[in-house]
Amino acid sequence: MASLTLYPEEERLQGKERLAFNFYMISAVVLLVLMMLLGVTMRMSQARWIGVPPDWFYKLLSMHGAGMVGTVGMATMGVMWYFLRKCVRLHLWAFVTNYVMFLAGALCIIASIFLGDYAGLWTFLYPLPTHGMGLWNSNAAALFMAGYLFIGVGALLFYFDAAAGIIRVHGNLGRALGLQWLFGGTIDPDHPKTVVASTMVIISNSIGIIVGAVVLVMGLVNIYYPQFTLDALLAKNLIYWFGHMYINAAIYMAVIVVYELLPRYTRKPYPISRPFLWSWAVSTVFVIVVFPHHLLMDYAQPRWLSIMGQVVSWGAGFPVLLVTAYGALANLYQSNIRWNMPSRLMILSVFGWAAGIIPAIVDGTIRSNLVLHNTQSVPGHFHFYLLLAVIPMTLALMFHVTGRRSATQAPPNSRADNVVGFALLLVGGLTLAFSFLRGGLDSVARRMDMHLDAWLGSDVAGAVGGTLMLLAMLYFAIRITAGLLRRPSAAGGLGAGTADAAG
Amino acid sequence: MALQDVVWIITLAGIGLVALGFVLVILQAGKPADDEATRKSAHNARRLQAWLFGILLVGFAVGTWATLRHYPIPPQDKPLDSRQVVDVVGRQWSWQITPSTVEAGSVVEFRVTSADVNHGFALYSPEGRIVSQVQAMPGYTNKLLHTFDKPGDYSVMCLEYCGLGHAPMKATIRVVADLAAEPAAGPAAAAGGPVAASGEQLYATHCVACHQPTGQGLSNIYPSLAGNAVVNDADPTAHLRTVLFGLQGKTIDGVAYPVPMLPFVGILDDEEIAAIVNHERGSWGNHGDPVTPAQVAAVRGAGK
Repeated sequence: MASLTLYPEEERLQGKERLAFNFYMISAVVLLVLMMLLGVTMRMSQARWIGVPPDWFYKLLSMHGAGMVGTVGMATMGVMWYFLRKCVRLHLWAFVTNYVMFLAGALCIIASIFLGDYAGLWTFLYPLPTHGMGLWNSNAAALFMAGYLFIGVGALLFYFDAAAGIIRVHGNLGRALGLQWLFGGTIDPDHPKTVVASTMVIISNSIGIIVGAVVLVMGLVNIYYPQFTLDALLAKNLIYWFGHMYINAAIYMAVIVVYELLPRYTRKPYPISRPFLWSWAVSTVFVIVVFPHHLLMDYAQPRWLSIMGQVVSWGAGFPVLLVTAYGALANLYQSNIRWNMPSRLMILSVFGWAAGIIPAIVDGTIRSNLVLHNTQSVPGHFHFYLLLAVIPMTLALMFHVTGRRSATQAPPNSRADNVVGFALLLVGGLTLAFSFLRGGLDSVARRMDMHLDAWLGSDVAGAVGGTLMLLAMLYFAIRITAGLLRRPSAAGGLGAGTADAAG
Repeated sequence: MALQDVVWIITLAGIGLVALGFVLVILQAGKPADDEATRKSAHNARRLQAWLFGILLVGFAVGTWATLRHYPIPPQDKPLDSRQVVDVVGRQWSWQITPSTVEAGSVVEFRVTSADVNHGFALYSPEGRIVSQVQAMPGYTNKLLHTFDKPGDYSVMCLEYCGLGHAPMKATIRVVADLAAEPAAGPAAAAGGPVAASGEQLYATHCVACHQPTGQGLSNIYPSLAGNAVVNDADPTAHLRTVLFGLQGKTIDGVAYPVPMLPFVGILDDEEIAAIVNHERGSWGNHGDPVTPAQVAAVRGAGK
């Protein structure tokens, strides 16, 4: 069973590991601020507070989408690495190469958008990349897609290194997932939840990235050899198969923070259980096969695929609500938790995930897609996840680590953190998410620069919520960057202490 | 109650329940229990978890049955034998809808496809809410069945991002109580024949995405029609040739425009092009002489 020591020695970051972790996390918070700035700019333009020309709007939208997905993916890989490295042997060069490849890919994407005027969005939906109608040319589209390939190759390298480390310790990926205990047997109480979650992500996201690479390469061939054409429906299936798994993997990597850190803050054991193993085994399959819910309005899609998309979307709610959210609440109940920034962020993040699954299930329903597909309902549910679950989970780890480097070696819990940071995050995130959901109710189209007069209400709410969220993130970025760059404290104190001494 | 309202209630109720659960537990979080109470609460938690599992399972089964019992998408691989059929072609950035007038109260079959990239064909009610939709995908014809409850002007908007002119890619479908009683768009429209539309309406359907409602275009991307020398030229030939056969790489007032203009020769007839051109020549301060369908026919006949 995992230790309740707040800062165990095996998690201490030293030397090059610390440097690499800092690069990941500081890059993440800086990029999150910048990408949120783009998002707020678009919401302000829709609210008619400022005027953004359509060509720039769609370039910003392309950057915001690709930038957010990439940044969140990179940051949550940092989370997975932070905890997994104490369970299995990971090579630092793989972790660093992933970061370098991410930067190379990001540069390609930035150049394609801001130098090549690419505005085909992060989904690069075939055949739009070759139909820029003069706004962008094929080379810009190719550069954008090449950027994805760089990022994907780096991520695969990281996952394969992690898979090798896990297999060395646990024999195979099935045993690492705990499949041997699904139907009986005594579960090893020391089997790390981090290994279970990491294995699930390695399996699903490696498949996703390889699928993405296939459609990217086919798209690149099509750009330079137009006589080689793709089937638009097949290409769309492949793109969303890849895209959905990539962004889903982020939350499954980020939730490791809750499994690892929450019991340390509640000072209450959070044991591994059969329902937990079942939920991760089922989620592994669900994440791989749920993608057809993105194509529910493509009537040419085989009916069984659409039905599978709906059924699995609904089924995905079971593990989240019954195991992760319920387990976290059971751990919190009568725990005498010491509230501070990491613990607040973790509880908020579990709420964000559990609540966000409700509109996600609605959006995964064929019948409701008839009136909600590609409305703002969709960004409503995924902003709920990202702003109120993935980002708080990641921030919780960052604050936890900065606590170890502080003079008191205790998790941060200043009044400014609570009032400026946490309150702005909570109010801003909820306001922005509900502005999108309300927009879906009012049939507000997503991905559209010019909005109708009737849509202005939710646009203004979105601009306000987005601004608050941006301010919160700016505050967190400054706090975390300063905290991570602080010289590590000497061993001792809480570094080797328990949660009893914290808070 | 509209489907959107049902969905909104479900969403708020679900999020509210989750929030309530969190608030209740957070209120208890600061009250540590002794070992006996912890064992008891763990036992209760397992029972509650089992109950929750049962409730969710029932909700899952009932919900799946209720939403899929009558599959909401018509079969795509066999004829639907609908009395009213509307062919829809989406292209960057306009809709070609034939006919664009239909009758309320009886089912309409929309056969939707795309000539270039993916588009989203969404029908908005006169009150501004989506009533149904389907994707327009190149290489596929998706068949959507919809029965309009009441007459009115229903908007068509593109709901799949398709490039710079995505937002203005709109059209209108007129729904009437009795198609036979509509002299202007009755039998001809039902037979797929031309439907009379004003130059302003046609401009809004085919041109506004690039040249904008103000006729100002977009700086360095799409040229302005307001004050444009070709639009104001007494000889309309160049204007007509541009609309009919398209244009690319033209330099206007020192600005080179790389974006190609779509040729409308195969999309619009002489009357429609004359209506659009006259709208452009008489709007935004322009003063070009009006043209006739015969002049359009002559330029069309002369070829590119």
